[in-house]
Amino acid sequence: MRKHLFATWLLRRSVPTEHADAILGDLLEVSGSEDGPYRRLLHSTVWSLTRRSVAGYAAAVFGGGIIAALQSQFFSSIARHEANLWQQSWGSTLAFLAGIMGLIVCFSFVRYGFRDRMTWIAISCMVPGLAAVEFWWIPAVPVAAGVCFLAFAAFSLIRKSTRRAFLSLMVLAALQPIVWFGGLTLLITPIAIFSKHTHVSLSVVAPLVATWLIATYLALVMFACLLYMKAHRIAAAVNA
Amino acid sequence: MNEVLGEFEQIVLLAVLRLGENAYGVPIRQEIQECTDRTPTPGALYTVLDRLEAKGMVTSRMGEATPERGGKPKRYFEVTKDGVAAVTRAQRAYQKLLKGLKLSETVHA
Repeated sequence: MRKHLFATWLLRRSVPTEHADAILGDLLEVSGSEDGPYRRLLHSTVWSLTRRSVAGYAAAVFGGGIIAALQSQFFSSIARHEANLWQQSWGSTLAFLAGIMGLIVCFSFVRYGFRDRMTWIAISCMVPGLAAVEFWWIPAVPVAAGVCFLAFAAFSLIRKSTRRAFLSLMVLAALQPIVWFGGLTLLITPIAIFSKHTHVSLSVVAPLVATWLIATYLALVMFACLLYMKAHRIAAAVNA
Repeated sequence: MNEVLGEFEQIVLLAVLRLGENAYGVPIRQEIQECTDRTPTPGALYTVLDRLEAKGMVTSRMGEATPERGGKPKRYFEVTKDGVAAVTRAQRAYQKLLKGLKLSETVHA
């Protein structure tokens, strides 16, 4: 019987390894030694178990990208003219974190559903962040958003059922800038070296930069989603 | 915890309860097939079992590996107290809805 390495690998990525082995054992037991039925069962099982994750990745890439692009565009169009340096730097950082939360909300909405506890926590973190970023020029809004976030954080930490989920998400949010800036440093540095020889030709450098930025963005999305799934499993196991 | 169970979740919980200590993927699927004339796809069954485990209604443990399974272990399931309570609640609701109702006489269309 063939091993169907890709389907098996995909199955092991979507469920814990020992659970995946048990599923593969069940499928072998049902299909006997015939490869045809085993292949059909394996592919339908892998599709059932991974389709929501795949859709979640797609939602994160497109939905998260759109949210991040729109809000950063909105923020930068105002900040360029009126914000001071402090507001620009902290606003950009907060915009980045809110964008990451938007990416996570898109992923979790598709992967785990709207009623899921962590989806709600991600939304509750994203909304004050977005409000503070977009309406920084109305002083009451960032203050109110900060108070709302702190109240929500206290509420989540007091309740046993949401404590681990909230902490998992905060650790995840804190890791993202490291991944993002680490990725940028690793990927842009070769461009900088390379551009010594090609700096005269923008048509060569620009597509390279764009490609590297897109690759970094996709890597960031994948990493965020994988970490989020891990965080979700930890929270679900502890809360169960 | 007052989790609402879907129809297929109830079917899976009842099948696991009926099988007792031999409740792992293959017999659970066979039991559902024999009792309901429905053949769930393995993917749908494992998805529901994982969801029930996340809700705390079943627990699972890894069992022995056998040659016909290619040396892969079995994953046995057991219904928890919460699971029994949830399925009992759901069945009571059905019973209440059916009480006093003569289905054969209530066909309007």
